[in-house]
Amino acid sequence: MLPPELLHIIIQHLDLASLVSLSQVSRKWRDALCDDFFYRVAARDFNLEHRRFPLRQTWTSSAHIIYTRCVQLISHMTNSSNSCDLVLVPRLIDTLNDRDTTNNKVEELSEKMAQLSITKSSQLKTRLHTSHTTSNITFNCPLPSDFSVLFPTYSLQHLNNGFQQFDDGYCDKYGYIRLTDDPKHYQCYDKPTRDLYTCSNGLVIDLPQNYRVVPSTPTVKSRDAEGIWTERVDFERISRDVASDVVVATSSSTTAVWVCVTGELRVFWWVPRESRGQGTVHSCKISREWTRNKVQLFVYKSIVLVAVTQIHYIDWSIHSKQVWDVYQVTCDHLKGGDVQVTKIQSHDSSWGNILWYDGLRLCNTPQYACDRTHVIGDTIEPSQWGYGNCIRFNFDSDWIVGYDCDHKLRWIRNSVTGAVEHVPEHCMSFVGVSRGRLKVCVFDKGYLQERERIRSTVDV
Amino acid sequence: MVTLVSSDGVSFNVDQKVASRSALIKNMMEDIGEDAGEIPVPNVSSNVLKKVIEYCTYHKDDPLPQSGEDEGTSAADKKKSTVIDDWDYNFLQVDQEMLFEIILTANYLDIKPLLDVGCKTVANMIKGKTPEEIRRTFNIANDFTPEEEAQIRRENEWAEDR
Repeated sequence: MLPPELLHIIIQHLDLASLVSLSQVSRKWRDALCDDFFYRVAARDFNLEHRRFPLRQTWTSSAHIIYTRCVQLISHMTNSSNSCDLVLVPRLIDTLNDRDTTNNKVEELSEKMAQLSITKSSQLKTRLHTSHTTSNITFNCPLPSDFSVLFPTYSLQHLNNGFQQFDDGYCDKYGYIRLTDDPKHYQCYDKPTRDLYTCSNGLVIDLPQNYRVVPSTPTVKSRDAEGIWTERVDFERISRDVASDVVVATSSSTTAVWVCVTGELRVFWWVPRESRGQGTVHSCKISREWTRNKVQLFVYKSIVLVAVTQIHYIDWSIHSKQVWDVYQVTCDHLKGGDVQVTKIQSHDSSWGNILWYDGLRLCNTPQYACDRTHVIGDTIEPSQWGYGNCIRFNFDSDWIVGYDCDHKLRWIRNSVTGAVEHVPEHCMSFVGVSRGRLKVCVFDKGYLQERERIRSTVDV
Repeated sequence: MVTLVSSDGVSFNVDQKVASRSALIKNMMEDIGEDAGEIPVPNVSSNVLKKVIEYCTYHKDDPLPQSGEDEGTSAADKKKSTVIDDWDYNFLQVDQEMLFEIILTANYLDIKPLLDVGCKTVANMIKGKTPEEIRRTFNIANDFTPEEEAQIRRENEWAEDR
């Protein structure tokens, strides 16, 4: 029998796929590998000296995998023109950081990433401002008014030293942070995920090392007749390590506005009163165990469905395999009465997002393909939908709202009037709608897809 | 000449140049001096020691690996490293038990090239195989529960190419 002590030597000659197979052979082998497995892989792939890369004995297997994925991706990116993964790696690092208080590996990965950023600067600029943040949500819908959910303030959390305010910056109403040491530059972040996108000056600046941005109190704002945004309702303050995703949905059968915030996974719903500026916020907790995952919210008549990615797939967003747990929330949402939360399904969406779910039928983006360019008249197959995050919609009104992969172009289409509106730059999410029919807006030239065929196109 | 004595008491008279392929024995000879006499190799049986000596004899004129060479090897070089030259490949066409013994002996005697080529041979037996195929190859019992297997598969999905 192959002595386990030989594994430590043999693995140096194996590729990652073989290593993964090897780790599944037996418990004994796995145990033998775990102490040294990723240490060796890392040392080899990064060409690092072993002593610079201490491995904790308690390093968890899932962290192993995350770390390996980082190694793999960085290695891949070094030899590839594909820039999509540039977004993923900081997230991986971020997640890894949560699991490893020593930060040794994180620092190494960050270093490597920074080096890569230099050589791939153009790609990085292209991709890093591909934020799918929902830090600011604007939606247009017939009921009851126009609203926006904003994170009006941000804080920066130092990853090593705990939470602290970032005194030199300030946040404008769109959640942008300006660094006063270089007032010409603005940094705009996507929640705690380190996503970065450009502001008006078009420059991309890296996130200060070891910091991440934490949104604080989400609020609902409404827009009055003059189009002035005014704060209307504050949601309760959420903990500092939450809110990786926020979605909003409405239903024509009620006046409630539903908001789902991940973190300590919680659904809020706001029941507006007749007089403007008045309303009541209710909330119910769905789960305590998930943080920083992605969420989708579907409101169909009185049924509220919440789909959330599982913890092992946190924060990978559209770039990674995701398993969604779908919950049905039943409550008297007008009065904020008793709430029942029932898990009704787990759905493996492969690498995609759930786009649509009415309790029976579910579709999702099977994969991302953001490099595709569609032309007018294309039939867009599900596998070509690209970034699922570009699309959100609902059933009960005539609005479909979409935005493009790199968030430069955002538009709203009223399927009845055919009107197309450009959404403000800060609009990061939306509710879309169709009356009982699946319509999907796909970015780029602005296509409208009904079921599996494009029925019409939209000029933008 | 130097005499190596295996764990089962068999003596092998070996040219010093051949014996020096082992860093361990080379150091011992340097410590002891010219009259090294018999050097016991207590962890190695005669049939394995004979094979190792055969390897060292064939490679006696090869340049010795420099200390720290491994650290300086690039990742790209490492990835190419499963290539095995013909003589070494034929030399290692032995049963698994012997192969593992040779590798362990190379590790013990600090014969880096032999250790390297032995591990490459095993690595080639692993490459491209599923866990079940690896179990069959090395006669390993699967002691994971189905739940553990499922969990491991889920965890490892991250490492798969997509």
